[in-house]
Amino acid sequence: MSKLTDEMLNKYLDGDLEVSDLEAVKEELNSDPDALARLRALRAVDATLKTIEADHAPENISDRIMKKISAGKYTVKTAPAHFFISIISILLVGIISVTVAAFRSASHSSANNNLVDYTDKIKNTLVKNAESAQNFFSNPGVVFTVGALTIIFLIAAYFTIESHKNFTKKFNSLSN
Amino acid sequence: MNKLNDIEIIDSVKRGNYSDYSLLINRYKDRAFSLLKRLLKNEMDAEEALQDSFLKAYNSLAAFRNDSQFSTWFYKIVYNTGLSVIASKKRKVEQQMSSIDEQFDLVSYDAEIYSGAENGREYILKMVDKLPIRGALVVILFYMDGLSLNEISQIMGLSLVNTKVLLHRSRNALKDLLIKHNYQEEML
Repeated sequence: MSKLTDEMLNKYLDGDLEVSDLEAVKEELNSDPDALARLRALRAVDATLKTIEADHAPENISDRIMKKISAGKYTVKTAPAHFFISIISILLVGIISVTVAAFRSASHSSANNNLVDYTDKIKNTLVKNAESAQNFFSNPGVVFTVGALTIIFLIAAYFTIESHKNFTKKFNSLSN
Repeated sequence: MNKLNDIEIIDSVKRGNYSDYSLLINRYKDRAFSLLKRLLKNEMDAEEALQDSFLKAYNSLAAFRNDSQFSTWFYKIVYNTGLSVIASKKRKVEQQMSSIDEQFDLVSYDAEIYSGAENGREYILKMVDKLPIRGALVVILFYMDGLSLNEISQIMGLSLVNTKVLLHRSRNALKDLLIKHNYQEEML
């Protein structure tokens, strides 16, 4: 009974064997005519399969497809602009949060929950937040740190995008 | 114009030159048709599924990301369209595709194919069509389309190990028949 299984011969054929197994298989093939015959047959199958030709699709298939496309029934749907959608979502969430905060604060402080009260509260909350942001950024240390971090972030983003572009270009040129 | 690569053609179609899509159709129609013929075992169904696949791909072109390979993405659409046809017709092939332990016993077709084949090469190529469906598809995608086992596993929704097992079993089944008819000497 041959030690070399069909599985190992397939791996040998595909170059999938570990270096340590490769030597053992080569040695075994030298002393096992049955395994060698199976490997030769596998090679013949492999070589034949490499010559498989595609069937011919029906002659006018391209015209039929293009006719349907030009009839306007099928369109390339445009992809949603994820970036803008996320920015708008963040803004919306911010506005809703401020409004909810203002409403809650109004209902806690006063029993008179009229519309004017709510509008004032929203205005107050926005002003308060703007003031605290202004105070925060009036510190030169904070401005310097935020500025430096922004520059570092922008440079890193630039290099990441460039390297991604180069990789994509290389990958596509290899695959086409 | 035919020198354009897939990504360039897709970009052009996305920019509104829809007629450039015919370049992609002409590039992939034969190979996709070969795949569908093996999957559906019926030329009419394969033709219909081929049209559907190209139209689905056109409709979804915006979802295609340029950093992946169009062939892998498109064959996945082709394969899934073929599976939908099978599901809608509740074909016998559906049962055959329920596991990777499909029967690789080709002996029942042997006499018929052997008597009609002029040489070992013709015999092997005809036998590919008699392989269990998924085995035949892996062989077609691997040898005819030159896809990697990793890409094939993505298209067919199988693990890499199972894809490799299908390829090896297909080759082994063909190898056994080759030895049986002593074709290997003639073919090497």
